[in-house]
Amino acid sequence: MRHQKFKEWIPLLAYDELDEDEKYLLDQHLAICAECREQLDEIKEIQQAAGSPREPSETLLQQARRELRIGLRHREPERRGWLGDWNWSWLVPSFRTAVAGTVCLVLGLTGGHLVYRQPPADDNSLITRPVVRGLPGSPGNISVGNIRFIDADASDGNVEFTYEATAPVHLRGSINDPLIQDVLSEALVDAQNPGVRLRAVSVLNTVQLKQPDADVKRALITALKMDENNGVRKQALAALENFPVDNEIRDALLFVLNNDPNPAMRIAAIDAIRTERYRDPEVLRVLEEKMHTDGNEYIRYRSRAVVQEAKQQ
Amino acid sequence: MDLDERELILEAQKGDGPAFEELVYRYDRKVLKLAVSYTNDEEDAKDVYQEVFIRVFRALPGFRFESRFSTWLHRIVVNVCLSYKSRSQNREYESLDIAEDDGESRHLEPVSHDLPSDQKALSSEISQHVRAALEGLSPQQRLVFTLRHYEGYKLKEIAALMDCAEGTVKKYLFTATERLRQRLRPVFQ
Repeated sequence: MRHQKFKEWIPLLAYDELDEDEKYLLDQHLAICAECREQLDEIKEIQQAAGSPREPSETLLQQARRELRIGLRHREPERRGWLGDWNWSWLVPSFRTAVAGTVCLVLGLTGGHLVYRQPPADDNSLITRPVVRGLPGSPGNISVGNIRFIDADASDGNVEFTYEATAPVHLRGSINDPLIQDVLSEALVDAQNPGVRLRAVSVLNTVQLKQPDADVKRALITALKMDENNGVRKQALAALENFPVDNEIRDALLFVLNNDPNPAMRIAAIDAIRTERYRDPEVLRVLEEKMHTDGNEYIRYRSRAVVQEAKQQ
Repeated sequence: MDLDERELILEAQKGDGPAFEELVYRYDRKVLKLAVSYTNDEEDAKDVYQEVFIRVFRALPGFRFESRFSTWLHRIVVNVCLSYKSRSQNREYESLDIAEDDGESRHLEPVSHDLPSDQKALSSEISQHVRAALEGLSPQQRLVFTLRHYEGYKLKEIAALMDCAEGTVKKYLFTATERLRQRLRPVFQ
């Protein structure tokens, strides 16, 4: 067999991709060929130096999930074209007040920004018409920013990108007003600035919220599970305690207990579910698991205490 | 949510947002890990991650259970990786033809072995050279190396994911290792 063929087998040997017969033949060749032995040694050095895969950090994962949510928002019209009514409440609360299909975002009670997009095109294609026409300089001082190209290659006549359009808006009204709840929920889920998200969730964390809204609840659950900022997650957890007990909130609390990297959040989740409101077999099962497996000693202790307390009752 | 995967997919296909979320969460850590290994850049990895799940979102209604969902998803990951252009936009991929290589390693400086005996730092520095050298590979070479070395896929599985012959994948792996050898030789010497 030719020397070149054996050379091609060497990386396969290094990655254990040869069968026994091939290994035997290559071993015979290696015994007499210094060049191939050197090649094998160098590949082994590269394997060692290349090391193990890097595990993405929890922060990176949460950022990616957050950006995905925003990215999917831009795809919602397309999917509706396929399937009609989609339940998008897990992504962002839907706006009940239609302003010609425009989505707006108010960043705070005293002022903020409006983020909007055009209504979907009549057909199902994403790339059939410009999303913005004459936007710069149009009434309302709307400005375009943060353009992110999905397809910047115009050789086929089309391009595709997402962008943010902002304009100042002043909104004043009751915390129970659906529009205000929607806007705050939107800010909680989508605002880039953690300070804005924190203010939004703080505003929503009030007993004045007379009619807990399903979209607000969804936004709070999303923030609780996925926001990268500890303060936002903690406030979201506190705000959810104002809501009637249901399985969604219970599952979100268990999600925090199982997945949140911050021990303080996991402790807060235990405190929330230790009440009678959440006393059910699934909660106890998770707590029994945590009292053995959690990496934090205090959390193991707290879990054990809650389980014992439950069993004594 | 405690649905098995088929039920989860069916629910997501009907438009159930939480089911889609659950589906994403089952696989997204692995997708991000592969994206980080492949791109060697967290921002680029997030772009790949997003593009993958947007494609999943768009294509899910057409998923007919003719393959495992994970296989279908990983084919999408492979296609996104192969078509992805880094944000830096200044990476140039080299020819598949090894013979064209002039053997120079002008981008790499040898690691000084005279440094104080901080093996960790040295190892990290060599690792950075390897990562930099990987960026010089073609997308196919880099993907095959990433899938085999970092993700542990067998070449046969990689061929199925890339929809090409196993022999082609072997050639990519061989070419990748040859290029890495040529580029890293000064580092190891």
